[in-house]
Amino acid sequence: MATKTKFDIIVIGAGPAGLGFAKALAGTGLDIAIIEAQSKAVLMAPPEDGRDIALTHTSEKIMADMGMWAHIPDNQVGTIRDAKVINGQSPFALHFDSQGSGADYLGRIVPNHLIRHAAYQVVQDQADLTLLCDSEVTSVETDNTGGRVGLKDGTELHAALVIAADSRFSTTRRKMGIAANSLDFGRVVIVCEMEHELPHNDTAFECFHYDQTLAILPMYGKKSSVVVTLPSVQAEGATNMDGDAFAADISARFGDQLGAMKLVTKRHAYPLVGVLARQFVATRFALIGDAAVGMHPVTAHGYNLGLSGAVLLAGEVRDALQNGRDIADMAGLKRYEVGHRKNVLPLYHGTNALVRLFTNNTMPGKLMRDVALRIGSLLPPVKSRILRQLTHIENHVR
Amino acid sequence: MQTSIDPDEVAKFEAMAAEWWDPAGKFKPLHMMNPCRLEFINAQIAEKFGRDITKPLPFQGLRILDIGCGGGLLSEPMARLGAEIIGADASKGTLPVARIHAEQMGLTIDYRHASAEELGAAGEKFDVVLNMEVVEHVAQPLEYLTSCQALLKSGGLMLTSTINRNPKSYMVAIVGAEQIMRWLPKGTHEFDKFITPSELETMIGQAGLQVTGQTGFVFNPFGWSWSLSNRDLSVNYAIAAVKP
Ligand SMILES: Cc1cc2nc3c(=O)[nH]c(=O)nc-3n(C[C@H](O)[C@H](O)[C@H](O)COP(=O)(O)OP(=O)(O)OC[C@H]3O[C@@H](n4cnc5c(N)ncnc54)[C@H](O)[C@@H]3O)c2cc1C
Repeated sequence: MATKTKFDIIVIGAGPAGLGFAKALAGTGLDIAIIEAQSKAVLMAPPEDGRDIALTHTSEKIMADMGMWAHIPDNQVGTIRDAKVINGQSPFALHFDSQGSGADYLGRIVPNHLIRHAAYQVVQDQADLTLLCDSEVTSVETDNTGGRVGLKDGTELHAALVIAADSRFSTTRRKMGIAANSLDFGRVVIVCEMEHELPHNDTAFECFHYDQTLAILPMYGKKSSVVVTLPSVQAEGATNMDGDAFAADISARFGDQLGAMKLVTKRHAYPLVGVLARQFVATRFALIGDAAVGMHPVTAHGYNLGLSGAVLLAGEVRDALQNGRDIADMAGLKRYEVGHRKNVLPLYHGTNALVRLFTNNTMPGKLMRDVALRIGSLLPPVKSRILRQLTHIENHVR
Repeated sequence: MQTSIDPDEVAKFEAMAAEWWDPAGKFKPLHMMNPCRLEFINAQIAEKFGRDITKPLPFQGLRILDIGCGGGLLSEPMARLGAEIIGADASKGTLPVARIHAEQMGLTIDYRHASAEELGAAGEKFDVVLNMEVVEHVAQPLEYLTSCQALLKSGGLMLTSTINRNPKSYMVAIVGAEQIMRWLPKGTHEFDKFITPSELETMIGQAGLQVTGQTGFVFNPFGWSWSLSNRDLSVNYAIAAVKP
């Protein structure tokens, strides 16, 4: 039973987006409650989940400002300086490197569980923050005067503003009556980590084979994150086959570029579903992170966008607070919605269009766009060009 | 709140409060303008009293009067920023609305049905008097401003906003806002009562205050938003003045 029931803000979901939002409001004096279904033990030491997150320079900076970066061991941070595409038999069809980008690397790769761990570390002692773990939300309501969140144990919590950060399958979004478009690609992505004989030279590889794609992202040392996208029917076989055989198969698929490979984590399978909420805000309510927009995972935007959106919304809350306005003032929420949608829409639709293209077949021209997309999030100078290309492609697909 | 009002009345006032405070409702023009007014007010108070608005409760310790407080659009922000705030309105109708809303927001605001003269007679003194969009509605502006001056502690700040008197303000405030957009009920404003910046400055000086600054509130029909301007005082504007 929660003893305290009145807060300024209630955040539902202590994932990277929810925790990041709470951290972005540290020092404001706002009373924040975070409600999380999982236990505190899991938040403190999140299990390895196979996701290795490609971080943009912007995310890296936000994480450093929040103090998160200091909690991520140097020997767990991979750096992407170069990206190559392997198209079936012809290696290196395309090549990107950080030379032209103005930065000396394209981005970083960090295991998701370490990001979650760091996000928890930086909020655990935050003043005026109450973390309610093992809690299930049963009802959510808001009106002009405030928001009410009911918990399974019968507690009713009150706050001026309610935030849903409870994943792309957000039940809060549904409870608030907010519709979402969702797109099931009918495919599954299998992620795991592998060690290998030869150095990766900070290079990301993309390989295309009929209706499967394989991405190999450079982690710290002689280790890479392996991302395989394949039709759902093949997923179980790929997850359950012998680990050594799986590693050998992956290695062969991209021409043994890294020498012998060895599976060092479990294989985790995620369904490929993209979700876009029709609106991001309602009276005294906002969606952040995957609850607002759940990107197709292969494009490595979800965490990055979730973080920038959380910072954007926190900025609006701070602005209202500093001016004595209601922190849930609709004008501020709307500015977040407009700003965040402007960032996510081109990527969301562009990604989906591309993924549809690739589920047909592969052609060198299309290949290029996919790689551009995947690496594009890490490479600001080419972004506008990619975006133009994306909208262009989308017109053709429709 | 001290509810000596009967429950039916409370329900009625709750409905009125919801309407008053609906940013897309009847008072939309006020809600639209409010962030801009607040920006001006907050910056003026922070500067005059050396407060850092990035810190929690920056106006703590300041006693502020909001004359013509209406539903509390300015009183509530002042309370949130930590001020001790008295909201006064000569019209009895909106005070229960303001009280109910403040209570819903968990804010402590002393709302009173009183005029500037009455507050002065009661010996009230303030660090800041907010005198926003009132002076164009009173019969004797100079006498009124003098009563407001009397409510200030020495060194206190008065912020006065009103509407300029010229062909443009006639078009915007009366033809545009009342007749075309119907943002305001017809007859809300009388053109003859509008005051030019130099007239207002003169009166404020005659009332015994020193003018320290002036700012225009400018509506941008393309961005559909208000902003502050140092130069454009052609329609809505405000003057800051201190009591020596
Ligand atoms: C395979 C894969 C690879 C990815 N790679 C990248 C990448 O390279 N770069 C990138 O930027 N992004 C990547 N992403 C996306 C990224 O992981 C997500 O965008 C990010 O985790 C979203 O964070 P979130 O906080 O919004 O949601 P989540 O991480 O889903 O967290 C939601 C939290 O809410 C809790 N919760 C859910 N429901 C409730 C409820 N009803 N009550 C209380 N609590 C609840 C959950 O327990 C969880 O803690 C990848 C995703 C996948 C699947």
